[in-house]
Formats: sequence, C-alpha cells, structure tokens
Amino acid sequence: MKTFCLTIVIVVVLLSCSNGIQAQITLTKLNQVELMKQFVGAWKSEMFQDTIWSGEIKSFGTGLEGYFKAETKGKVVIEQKQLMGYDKKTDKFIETDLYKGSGIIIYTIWFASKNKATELPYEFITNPEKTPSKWDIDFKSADQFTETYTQNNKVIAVYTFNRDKK
Amino acid sequence: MKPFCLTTMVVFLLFYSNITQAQITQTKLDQVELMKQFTGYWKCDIAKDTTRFWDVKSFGTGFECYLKVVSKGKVIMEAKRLWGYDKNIDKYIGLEVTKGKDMKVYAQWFTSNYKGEAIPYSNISNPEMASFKGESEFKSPDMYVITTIVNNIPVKTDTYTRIK
Repeated sequence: MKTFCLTIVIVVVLLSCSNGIQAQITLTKLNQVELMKQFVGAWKSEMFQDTIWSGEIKSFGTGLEGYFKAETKGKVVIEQKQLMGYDKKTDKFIETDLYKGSGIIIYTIWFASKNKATELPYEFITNPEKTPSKWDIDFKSADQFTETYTQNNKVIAVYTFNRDKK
Repeated sequence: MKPFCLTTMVVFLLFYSNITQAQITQTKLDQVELMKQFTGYWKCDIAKDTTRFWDVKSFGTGFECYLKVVSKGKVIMEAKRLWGYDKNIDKYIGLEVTKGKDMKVYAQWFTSNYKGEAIPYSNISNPEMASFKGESEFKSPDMYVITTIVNNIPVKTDTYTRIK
C-alpha cells in the first residue's frame, strides 16, 4: 500500500512540475512580431540642439517600413529609409537602414521583455555579447521610448522619441 | 652586355606592371552606376493571366522596390525590398519582406556591364557554397532576364520588360 501511494505521489508531483515549467516557457516566449508593432506610427526626437529627427514607421506584412529625416534649422540634413523583416530562424528582426548620401547598414533587433529591445550590427547576431556598439530601446509608454547608444560598454547618447500626433 | 640586358628587363617589367594596373582599373566595375539599370517599372509574365510587376525607385545610391503579382486582376502577392550599396564588400545588399512569408537578405553585384549575380547574404563569404543563386542579364535597357539556379541547376528563367 505504501509503495503504491508513494508512486502516485511521485507521478502527481512530477506531472505538476512539468506543467509548471511548460507554462513558464510559454510565458517567457515573446511574440516579436507583435512587440515590434509598438514602433508603428509617427515619431519625433530632439537629437541635438536645433536638430529634430522625425519620421514614420508603417506595417508591411509581419515587417515594418520607415522613413526618417533629420532637420537642422528647418533644412533636411539626413534622410533615411528603413525596412525590417522577421527572421523566424533567429526569432529576431533584421533591419536595413538606407541613408541618402551613404550606403546601407544591417542590424538585428529583438525584444528581451515587453518594453525593452536591443539593436546591434547584424554580424553579431550569433554572438551579441561581442558587439562593440548597441542600442537599448525602452518603451516608457505607448507614446514614448528612449534609445541609449552604447559603445564599448560606455553610454554615448540617450535619445527620447515622442509620438508625433501632428 | 649584361647591364644592358638588365636595364631592358627592368623597363619591360615596368611596362608590364603598367599594363596590369590598367587592366585592373578597367575591370573594376562601378556597381552604383550599373545597378541604376534596374530603375523603372517592369513586368514579367509568369503564368497565364498572372503577371509580376516590379517598381524600382532610386533613393540616394540605393533603391526602394515594390513587387506585386497580379492574377486575373487580383493582387495575390506583395513584397518590398530595400537595396543599398555596401562599400566594404563592393556589393549591394537587399532586404526583402514578402507579405505572408519570412524575410530574406541578399547580396547582389554586377560581374560585367550587363550581367549580375545575387546570392543569400549568409553566403557572402563563400558565394560558391550558395545553394540558391540568381543570374541577371540585361539584353537591352528595356529588357532583362533572371535565371534562378538551385544547387547549380537552372530551374527557371523570367523575362522582365520595361513598362516605363
């Protein structure tokens, strides 16, 4: 009788633990496509004195496309087009930024929690800990996020983007 | 006599060196200029009543592209691509996002004035290992063909003609 009871207890405990672990894995698996939609809309940031960075990001399938420009004293000094697509193999987004007057840069970007994302050069997608530079994005609210640029573990700049409700 | 021969040899080597340098200069292709051949609005008949339209617009030295496949008047596929020049590899990089599909990253470059190649970006350091390859050839400013090669076997050829 004792052996039978012990077996039942062990089986029940193990099954219970297994379900708990499964539930935790399901909870921690973030939906990158949904989270990236937080970027959709028009945004504005005062990057430097007299320089405003503004633009808009739109959905395209599971990806995003964007156009941004930097204006200094009303004059456009930088123009940029973006295209981002979800890579299911890495469960991350791949982003290309095309600048007028220069070339293209590829990044990878992903959310590590519901409000926080990291962006770094594409070549470090498999070993992000080795990147010399990265952007940490933090959604403070649905209408505001910050971008912290770090180089060699040193914070170089922090930019605040506010939703542009034109 | 020997010093004369040596001098002649040095002159010959210098001359030969200049020829080699000239050849290198000649074979260096201007990828940015050559890619401009793709600018425009193109169409490709891929099946009966089904046409692929390809709109390529300049943005700086890069291009923004919109692709749609129309069958019997209905759009059945849409994709966007952003192409940009990467001077470090002297090639173009393109990210393609297709509605309902996973994204793709390509590297593309011209190998002569009218012929180019495209491979997955993941194969950029070893292009010969790419299982997928696209070969493009401009037959005229208003027509080009793309041959899709899978595992070294050509599987299809699409002909694009300029609409505008």
